[in-house]
This record gives sequence, structure tokens and C-alpha cells, in this order.
Amino acid sequence: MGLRKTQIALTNYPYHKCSLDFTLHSMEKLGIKTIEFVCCEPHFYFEDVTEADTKELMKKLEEKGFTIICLTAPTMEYPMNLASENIMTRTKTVKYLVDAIQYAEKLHAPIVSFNMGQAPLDADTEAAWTRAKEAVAYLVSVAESFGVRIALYVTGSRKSSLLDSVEKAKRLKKEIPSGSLGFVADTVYLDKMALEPETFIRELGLENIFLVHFADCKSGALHLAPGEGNLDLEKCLKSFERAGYEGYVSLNMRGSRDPYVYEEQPERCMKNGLEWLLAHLSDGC
Amino acid sequence: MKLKNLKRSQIAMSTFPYNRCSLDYTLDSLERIGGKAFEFQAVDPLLSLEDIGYADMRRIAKKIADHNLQCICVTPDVMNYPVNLASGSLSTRRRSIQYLKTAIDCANVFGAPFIQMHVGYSLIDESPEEAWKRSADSMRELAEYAVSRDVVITSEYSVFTWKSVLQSSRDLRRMIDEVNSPGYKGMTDTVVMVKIPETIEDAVQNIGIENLRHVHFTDGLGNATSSLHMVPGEGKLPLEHILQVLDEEGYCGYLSLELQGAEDTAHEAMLKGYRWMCEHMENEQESRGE
Repeated sequence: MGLRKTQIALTNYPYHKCSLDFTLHSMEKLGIKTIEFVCCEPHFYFEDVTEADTKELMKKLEEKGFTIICLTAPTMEYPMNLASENIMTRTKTVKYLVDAIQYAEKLHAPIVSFNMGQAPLDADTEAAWTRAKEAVAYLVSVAESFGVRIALYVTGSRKSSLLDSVEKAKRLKKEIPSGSLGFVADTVYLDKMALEPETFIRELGLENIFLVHFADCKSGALHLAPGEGNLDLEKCLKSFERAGYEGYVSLNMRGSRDPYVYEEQPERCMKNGLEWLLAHLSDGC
Repeated sequence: MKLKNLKRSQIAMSTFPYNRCSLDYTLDSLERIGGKAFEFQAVDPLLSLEDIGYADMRRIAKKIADHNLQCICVTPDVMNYPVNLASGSLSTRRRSIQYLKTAIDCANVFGAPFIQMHVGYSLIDESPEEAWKRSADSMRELAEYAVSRDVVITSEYSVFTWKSVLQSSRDLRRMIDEVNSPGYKGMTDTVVMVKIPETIEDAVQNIGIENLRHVHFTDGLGNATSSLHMVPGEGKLPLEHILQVLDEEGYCGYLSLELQGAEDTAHEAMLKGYRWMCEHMENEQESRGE
């Protein structure tokens, strides 16, 4: 059984220079009702939102029939770091992610995704690992009590995360053996790690892959719409199918800084990505 | 190149390529390079404005002094972080203003005369003029605060991010005139000029040399789609010409090496950039030992 169209999720990430209303309206036009919701400014940044804003968001989602399948807290782009040596930064990040878990419960999102944290290139990575692991273990225990699961990125890059290989992901899972802790399989990061999705999933266990981030990539421009880069995404889909993956496939397109292609045309990007997936996934339910 | 006015003491190194390094490594590296002045980009893990209080500002100021360095500008990251001085959300705008006030406090404690920043952006589906008004209001408040702390804000313009409120040196001058404060001036960037597009002559004429207080000086590919900020001498920009124009105009601010994309070789890139600057900024008076 191949991957199905009902597994597609849109994301608001490329719309981060648009208002929330513009974004939801645009995604509504595309016809998919499941979304990965990135809690970015200006859409829904925890520091700035009130209880009334939360209720307003819930109302808008309900009116448009949207379901949030994953609430994503941007920790890679924003000054957040669970591994930080700076105790103030680390504490702030933990609080921010506790907020994310609580908002996930309110917004009925079953998964919260974020980055485990990173260490400066000249730092003691083992000490950073210990700090980040302790923070993740605490957040997992909070998530368990809220009935939410945590999905971490495995990036393939030491610069972006301590969780930069499948071996590190296995180690973390061994050190925090909770069913509420899992991982995101990201097609761009898998390519960076030279790993087939099937291998990644086999190594970590199908039950520990909570979400797939699906995007294309080419040199210097990360997370492009499928079909706009050089990755063999058809082969990639088949590999996910062989592994028996049945979760959501989120169009996690971010564009690149140079030039900022998607900031100017977020709907084009989301539409192109969606059309590619619709053409390659089955109608089965 | 012999210069009449520009001096090597106007060269500023920067922390931009060190954003994946610790502060201790960064300061060690800058000290080894041999310069004194440097621009301090306020990004985690080097300087996290959301997390810093007065005690930590003092702690960092001591580290800077211990390395015989002089911070000349604090540059808060406002393009990637959730900060927007032109935001239509009052809570976002107030938080952003507070964030920038912390940057001004840091500059004050570090003894830096400047902070440098963008003034915000409008969303795709909102009125740019309304965003402009909110941005100008934010800048008036920040300029007043900066004056009280003996700091000057040097504002940046760019088309780097879509909908940036200030998209050219003309826009910057309009904002400077509108804010009308000794605490609010401008800067330009050798790579951004190409993207506008405008020349150094345009930038100086539009901003006014009296308002031009800071320059980001890096090489680039020389085309409108590239934002690469390269080591001087490794790209295609007419950097010697830019130096000559600034020299003739009597520019007295810093020329800062805002190198980007060199995270894996930060020390080497900054060293190369600093050497290029020293080689190309031989001052007639300095040569005579005056």
C-alpha cells in the first residue's frame, strides 16, 4: 500500500511574512485540511499571544475545518537552545517548549516538534549533550502528562543540532526510553546524512518516526518545493512506503535566504509542492 | 592605496562569522588577528539579548577589555529573530522595542558608540505606509532612549528581505529626517548597494555624509540576486573605488567586516579580511608617523 493523499499536511512556514488570516485563507484555497502549524511571529508567537488570541485562532481553525497535526516551535531560527551553556537561555528555552506543549493540548495537536539544541563548534559536545538530554527528558515527562508526543529533528549537521546522526538519535532514545519521544524524518536532512528513508526508519523503529518533512533541495537552497531541487523524491516516497510509514507527510518548505524565493510567493510554493505530492500519492484512504 | 582621510583605526573586525562559536573563542580569535575595534552581532550564543541582564553585560564588558578589544557597535539580529519594530501587533512591537533597548544598554555598558539595525518590515498583505508609521514611532522612542545612553542608532536599509520598511538610501534619509534625532542616523553596506541597485556616490549623496555613521564593508558577487558577504578581494565589487569615495568625502565612521557564510573558517576569513583592509588603507599621515 503506497502513501496516500490523506497523509499530506500543509505548513504555514513559507508564509512567515504574511498575516495569519492571509495564511489560513491561502491554505484553505489549496483544499488540504491538515496542517503543521509553526508558532512563528507574526502568526502565533507565545510571548505575544493572549488567551483571547488563542481562542480566536481556535475559532479560525474550526471555521476553516483545519486540524493541526503537529505544532512546531521554531528553535533553530530563534534564539532558543536547550543545550546552551548560558543558564538563562536554557531556562528560557525550556519554558518556551513547555508553553508549546500546553498550546499543543489546547489546539488539539498530538505532536510538538523542535530541535534538541546545538553547541558552539569549539564547545565540549558531551557536556552540551548532557544539558540538552536533561532538558528533553523533562519536556518528555511534561508531554506525557499532557498526552502529547515530542518529535525531534535529526539534521545531519553538527552546526544545526547535537542530534546530527542516526546513531545520536538511537543514543537519545536509549537514554530517554519513552514512547512519547520520537523523531522527524526530513528528506533534506536524510540526503545530507546519505540515508535512505527506509534505513533511517529501520534503524530508529517505525513507531519512533512521528512525522515526515517532505521537501526538495539543491546546492545552497534548502527545503525547496518538491520538483524544484535535485533530490530523487519519487525514490524517496517508495522508500517510505517500503518502510510502512503511515503518518503525515508535511510540506516543510522554507526556501532559502539567497534569494528569498518563498517569502515573495508563499502560495506558489505551497501549491507547487502540493501538486507534486497529489500527483505522486494514491487516493486510498 | 594612499588615503588622505581614512585611517586604519577605522577598520572594524566583527563577530558575524563566529555565530557558531563561543564568545571566548571569538574574542581570542579577534585579539590574535591584531585589530582593536569590532562590531558585536547580538546573536545566541555570543550575546543573547533576551537573556542578558546588567550583571552579564558587565561580565562581557570585562571579557572584551581583557582581550584588549573595543566594541564599536552592537548589532541585534532582527531579521531572523521574532522581532519587528513595524509590527501591527502592539505586543510584538512593545517586546521588539524592549529588545532594542537592551541592545542600547549593552552598547552603553560596552562603551560602544553605536547600535546598528533594521527598522522592521511590513507583511505582504498590509499597507507599507502604515508599517512605515509604526516603524517611525518605534524609532523615535528608541532614538530618545539611545540619546539618554550616549548611543547612536545607525539604521540599515535593504531589499534582502521582502517588504523591509527601508528599501533604499532615499528611504533611509526620509526616515532620518522624519525621526529627526541626534540618536538616529544611518549606515550603508557595500553588498546591499548592488542589490538596490545604487552606487556609493548615490548612498553618500542620499544619506548625507553627516548622517553616514557606519559602513558594512565586504566583497560580493556584484549581482542583484546574491547576498554573499565575502572577504574583501575575493569578490567582484569595486572596493578600492568605494574607499576612495569615502576618503574624499571625509567619512569618519568605521568600516566593518560583516563577513557572512564563513562559519567554518571564521578566524581565517576575518584575518584575511583584516589584512586586506590594512593593505588598502594606508594613510598618508599615518605613514609619516603623524
